[in-house]
Amino acid sequence: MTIMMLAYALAVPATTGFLFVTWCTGSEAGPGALERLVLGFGIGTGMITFETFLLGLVRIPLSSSVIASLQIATAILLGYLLYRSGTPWRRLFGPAAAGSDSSIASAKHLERIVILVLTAWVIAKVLFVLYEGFTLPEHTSDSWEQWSSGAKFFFYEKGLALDSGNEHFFGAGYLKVPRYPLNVPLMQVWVSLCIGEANEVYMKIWNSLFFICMIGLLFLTLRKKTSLMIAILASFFLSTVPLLTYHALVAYADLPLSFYALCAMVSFWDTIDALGSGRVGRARGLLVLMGTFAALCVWTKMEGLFFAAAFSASLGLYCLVKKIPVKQAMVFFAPPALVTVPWYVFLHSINVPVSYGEVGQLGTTIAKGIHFQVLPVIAEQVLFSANFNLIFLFLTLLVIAGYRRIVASNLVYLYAALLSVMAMFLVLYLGSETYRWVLNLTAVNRNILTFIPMSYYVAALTAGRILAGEAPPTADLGK
Amino acid sequence: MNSRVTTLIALCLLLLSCGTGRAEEYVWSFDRGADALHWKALNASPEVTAAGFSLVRRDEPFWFVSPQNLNISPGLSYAEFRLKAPETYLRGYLIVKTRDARSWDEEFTLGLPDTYHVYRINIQKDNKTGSPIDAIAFSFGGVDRVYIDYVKIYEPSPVQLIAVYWGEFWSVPFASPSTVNFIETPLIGDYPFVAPLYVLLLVVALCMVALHRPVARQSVVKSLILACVVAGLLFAFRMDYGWYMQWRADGSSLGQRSVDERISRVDGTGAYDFAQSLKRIVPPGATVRIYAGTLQGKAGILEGKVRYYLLPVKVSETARYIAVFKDPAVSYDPAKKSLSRNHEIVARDIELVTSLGKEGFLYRSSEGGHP
Repeated sequence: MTIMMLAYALAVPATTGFLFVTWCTGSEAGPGALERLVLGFGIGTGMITFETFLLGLVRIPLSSSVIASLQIATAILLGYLLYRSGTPWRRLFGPAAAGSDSSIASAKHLERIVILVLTAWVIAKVLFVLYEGFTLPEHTSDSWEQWSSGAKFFFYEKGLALDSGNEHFFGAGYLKVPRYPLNVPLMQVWVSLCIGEANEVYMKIWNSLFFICMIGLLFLTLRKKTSLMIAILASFFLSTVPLLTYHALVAYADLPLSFYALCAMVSFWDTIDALGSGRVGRARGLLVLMGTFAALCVWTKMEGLFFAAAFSASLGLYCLVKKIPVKQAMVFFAPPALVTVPWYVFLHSINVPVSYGEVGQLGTTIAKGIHFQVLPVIAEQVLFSANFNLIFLFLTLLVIAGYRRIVASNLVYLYAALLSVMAMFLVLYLGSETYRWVLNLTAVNRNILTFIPMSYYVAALTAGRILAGEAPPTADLGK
Repeated sequence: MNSRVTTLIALCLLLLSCGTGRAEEYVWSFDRGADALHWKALNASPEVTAAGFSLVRRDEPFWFVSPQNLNISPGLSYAEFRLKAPETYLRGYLIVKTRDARSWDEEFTLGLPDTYHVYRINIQKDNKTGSPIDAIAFSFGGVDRVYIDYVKIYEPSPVQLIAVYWGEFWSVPFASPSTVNFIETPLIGDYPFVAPLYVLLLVVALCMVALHRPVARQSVVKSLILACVVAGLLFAFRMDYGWYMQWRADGSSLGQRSVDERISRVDGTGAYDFAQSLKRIVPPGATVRIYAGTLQGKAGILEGKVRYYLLPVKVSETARYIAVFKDPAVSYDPAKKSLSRNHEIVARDIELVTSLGKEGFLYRSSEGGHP
């Protein structure tokens, strides 16, 4: 029974999210059903948690039926909108338009063997993650302290405990850092409400599933954009990132954030594609999708603001260079505003100070001196540790080798977003007291982890172009 | 005999001659009872059975101490020992004490359960003063019995050293609390294994470029990408081997257990079991005050764990029920019916409800706002 209810807890957000993504991507040929399911699972989860937060705000006791009924209503509405838009059923469940090199049948003999071996390896890794996900209970300190303790309390309280007389107002004593966004704790609340208990194993199953979704998404999207070999290599290498693997077994928020960031990046690339080919209507839907993922970054971790800012800046740059009216891109900002405003207004209303760790006033801390001592530590971690495979060296080589191709193509906007995130973290470390977290290695690798999937995506797109030896396509030129 | 064969034979002789290394100066074989007599077991009972020599825990933690005044010269760098335990994940410690009264410990993770594993530790790594080593000792916690086969201290020959490095490279540190922040990087000697991978990457790239002559920009770039893929594959192979071993360890120690047992085991502090016992005693709707000691010198973690595991029973500063867990600073005076913490009375008019294990107590006070 528990497993059935768990399946229900996962199916509800997946269905709503799937319909939402289908609605956003329009009736033209676009992402296949599986890709939409993977993207939709992330969105649906975020929708459920934000809805739970809103229900908590208006003091409606949390229950699986109340939350699910709103989700089902949303799904019905989306179904109606899809019907109205004339989306055919076969489009709803149809496969993606595949790239020219995306079939194993077209691969050479040796390539075929490599693809099969790597596929088997990835499957083994996925099975490992599932096994561990369904076996290991909560076990790391920060995991239960920062994310699960508050979730367990809200679950038993059946609400956010917002009565001023409550000794545990808004989880006081259980929710360790009240300014941390609630996406991860409320995912755990949702599962607990569905299965009827705060189960230490199933509560944290999200990370394992997000890990699998991330590998799947990378493969599915790159298969269309590059070749089958590059798609399988990229998803294989992402699946072997050791720190990411470990995060798939715990309940930290870094992996969900990295998943949402990857989804935003994928949507951004699709948006650029649509705008480049003059499909404005489709681009609008994709901008909503990209904005939703950016909003979910903000709703997952405070560092999510960096991602939202980076995508906004990169999108702004794109509009500026391509002379696209900013009005057209404004729709991107709606979802982040929809999430950010209520959340921060709520924090302000309950007098929770909002700052990133010990940042305080960045200017004041910078005045005390820039912490250059973080640079060798970061360099050592990205180049000589076993945390991320060899992605940083690989990406650096690609940028050097394909510099002209990157600058001449739209890839530059993806790099702009990626480098902006990196730069924001670097400025934070150099100019604030958070440099201590770099020196003692408590946060630096987890922060880097949040943009690792994006890095693999960008690297694979770049490698695909370099290996194909193609000149930048006309629609892709930066004018 | 041509010169190539002569060179090969000479090379083999050279390897064989350096393979013996220096004489092993300190060897204790515990399957022979006499060697074990020289060592001292603290908080444990030595036992010799058909399965071998073992230490059976009497208290936590327990030690196995070598003879004193060993006078091990700084030239002997490695301690090698073979042992098996019925548990994995747990860390054992090899404590090293020098003649100039300094000591430090080197930790090692117990391998898969119920199988002998050979461990090699560089005992001179932290010997900053170069003083001779006086004694060594093993320390174990959380495990009921440890079988020890032998201990030897020696200076490995170059060939032996390669074998040591090879063993170290493949030894898998299982997930620990710090893993969430960083993955322990396998070392080759003193270098992270990623460094030799870069060298390999360069060699592979150069070979490919050489094969694709004439050299063109595109072929160089392709060679570099393929070399990165090869190096990345080797990286993945080594690191995923670690996850394979983790899977085996988790399968043997958690796989067949109930959720409760699994939580209790991964908690490892007793907080979960304590909270479960409390939940059975505390009446519905009642709240609890918690006093807990430190964990590895850090305050708040044990208390947080009990608080977390205790839900849905909530914690309140004014609760009548008072739970004390592993807190030596708390004392109960039955005569005065008071509870003190750090010599300051924190509750009066209280009675002991029950003891939960050796370090857990539940009291009830007639004061307090909550039941």
